Amino acid sequence: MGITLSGFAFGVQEYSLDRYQLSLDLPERLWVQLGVGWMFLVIGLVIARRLPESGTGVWMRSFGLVWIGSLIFTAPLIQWHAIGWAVALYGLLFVIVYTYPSGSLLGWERWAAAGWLAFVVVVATWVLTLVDFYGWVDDTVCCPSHLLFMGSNVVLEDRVLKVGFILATLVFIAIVSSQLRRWRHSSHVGRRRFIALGVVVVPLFIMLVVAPTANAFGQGVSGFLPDADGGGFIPSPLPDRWNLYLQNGMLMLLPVVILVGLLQTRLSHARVGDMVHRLGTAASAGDLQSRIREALQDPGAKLVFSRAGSGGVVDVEGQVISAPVASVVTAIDGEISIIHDPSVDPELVASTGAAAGLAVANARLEAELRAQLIEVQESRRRLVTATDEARRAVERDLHDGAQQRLVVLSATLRRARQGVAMVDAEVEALLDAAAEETDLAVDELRELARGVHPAILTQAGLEPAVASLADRAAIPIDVSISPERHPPEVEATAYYVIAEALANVFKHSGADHARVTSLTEEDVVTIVIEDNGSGGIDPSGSGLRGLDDRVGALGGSFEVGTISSGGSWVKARLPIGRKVSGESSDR
Amino acid sequence: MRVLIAEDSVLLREGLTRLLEDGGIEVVAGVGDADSFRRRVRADPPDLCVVDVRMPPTNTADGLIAAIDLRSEFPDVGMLILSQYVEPHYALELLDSGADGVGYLLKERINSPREFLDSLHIVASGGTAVDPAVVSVLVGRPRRDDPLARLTERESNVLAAMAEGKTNSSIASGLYMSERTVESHVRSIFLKLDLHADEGSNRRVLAVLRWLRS
Repeated sequence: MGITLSGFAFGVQEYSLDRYQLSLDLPERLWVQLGVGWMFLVIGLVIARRLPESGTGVWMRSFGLVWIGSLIFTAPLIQWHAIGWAVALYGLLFVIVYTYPSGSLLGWERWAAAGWLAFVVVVATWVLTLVDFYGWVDDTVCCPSHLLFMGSNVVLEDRVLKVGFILATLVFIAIVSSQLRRWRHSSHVGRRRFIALGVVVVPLFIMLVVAPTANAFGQGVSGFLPDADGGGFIPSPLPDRWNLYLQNGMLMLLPVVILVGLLQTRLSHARVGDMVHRLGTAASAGDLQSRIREALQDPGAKLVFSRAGSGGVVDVEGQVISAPVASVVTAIDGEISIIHDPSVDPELVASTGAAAGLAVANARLEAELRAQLIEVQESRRRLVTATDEARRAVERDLHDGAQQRLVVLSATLRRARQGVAMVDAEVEALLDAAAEETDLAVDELRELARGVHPAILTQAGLEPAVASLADRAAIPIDVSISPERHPPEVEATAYYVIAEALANVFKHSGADHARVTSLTEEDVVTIVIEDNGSGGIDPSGSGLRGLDDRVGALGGSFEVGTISSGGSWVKARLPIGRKVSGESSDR
Repeated sequence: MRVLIAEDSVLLREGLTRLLEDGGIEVVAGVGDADSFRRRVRADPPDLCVVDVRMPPTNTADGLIAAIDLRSEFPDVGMLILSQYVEPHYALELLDSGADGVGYLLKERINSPREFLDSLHIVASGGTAVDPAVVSVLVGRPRRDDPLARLTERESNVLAAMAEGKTNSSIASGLYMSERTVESHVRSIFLKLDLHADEGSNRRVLAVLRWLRS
């Protein structure tokens, strides 16, 4: 679309340049005027592309096309040139200024704009096609007489033009006052975009409306028309060349000012976007407040929290404060508000507040989640510790109770046997059998107690306990474990990981050798169990899943894998500290 | 012989006391926790202490630790550890404190009063006694290219007996062979296992146990 339009405009320009050589007093005149058209066309295209939410781009593009298009008629049909010129300057330009920055016309504004454009076209056509002020329409020079050319009625046209200029003045005043009203209702951020516009629009206003009107009333209409021989399109006491650059330069400035203004609007919203992005890293309410200050460009802005019960608010420091007199309090949600300067755009506060509200809600959720996570972790840890403690208690009870009693019972049975020796062979044999059964029970109970919880683990640590496992293993096991002691739950978990992994190796791997290593570094115990079996360890097996759970309960990690040369490995990393991992230390 | 019993189970303590007294041994005291054990030995060192591994105050290996400590203070006091754990680690810890006059036996050995009293006398007279169950665990420990497989059955028996702390003469009578035969078996074993230790002394127990554990 842009390319097509540019191509069209370029074609028109080539054609005009070709035809324009006729009435050139200033050689750069056409170039300068084309520059105005191009400026509007290109910036209009940029705005339509980059800032599509603003309709201003479309209007500017139209201005550029009409302007460049009108230049085609400069020499042959000065009337058409002037009509395009009038439509651009008095119609489209007015619309551009009026609708800035949204670029859109709503409801009655459309009808008013359409009416005004029609009026401009009618007046321009009337005046320029029916009246030959300068005798330009001259067959002998270049062009055929216009069909509608009927001769001059200076008095009538003078009146029409005067009415036209008065109306143009009124419309322009209405436009400027409408923009002034918008300016007054804007935030200081929003105002910036009007200031630049005003700087350009006021001289344009003088140039387009005040000067020609004064001219029309002072010198008659003749001074109004585009001065084909002069530098500008508006009569002026300045030298022609000055006039050309001043007036066209002023016009060229307008699209630039509008583009900058629109970009600024976008930038202030971009700051909110930026804040949203950086809120993710706002660690504290203080951080959040400084992000809000940056977004609002209000260094005095405060983030405050309602206090439950009492009506007051507290700031991020927790101090009870009251809002300064010359400030506005914007509530974000039930509990938080922003106190800010009244000049800050309410829209900007609203979007900033929404973003901040999100962050606050997010932080609240995150804190809750973290608390729950910590609670769950602690509870898993407590479960493991409690299970271990229960196992230890069972082992202790067996050791101090049943095992001792059976030993004593066995001794007693043997004493009884001594008593009946040589007296009653049958009873003697029975007592022998009973004593032997009791000894077997002692053995079995010892192994049972050992399985429930190996006392040596608590008494002497991981290294002797694993060495003891290796003594009883089905295959040779190399044990390399650092001798230092760790908290009981870490030692117990490490032991059960090793015991279960070795049981797996004996049962499934077909390995003829295994290795157990444990290394302690920087508060983490790393345990590795490797074998040289057939590999293909199944991590979803219930035994390994249970180990994963156990290790996870201590905030550790658990992995299994296969060695490429055959065999499997099981690796557990157990944090020694009391702290549950996942509870990062920087918060 | 004056013996002190350190055992927290009253039942066992009484049983032990009766057993020793039946065997003509004087029981000078019975204590139920490691602290009283230390106090009583320091106050009046007996010839031998019969000590439970696990005792108050912490109910872990308090008895064993106290026994090892006391051995450095009173090298002449024999220490016979009674345990319910078949844990070579404990036996080795005890022997590391000096193999002369120490023993590590399972509690059920009191069910064979004669053997138990024999062990007690051996320890009291500076010998060593390691429970056969502990030795059996160590001998049965799986090894790569197991050197024990190179031993003859006789040699294996002699090795186990050595590990239990038996002297050559005791091994000879236990296995019904002459002391000379035992000596040649011992030499052969040391050669096959690449063991270097004083063949006659109690230190060979530790050397054999260490070798078995490695």
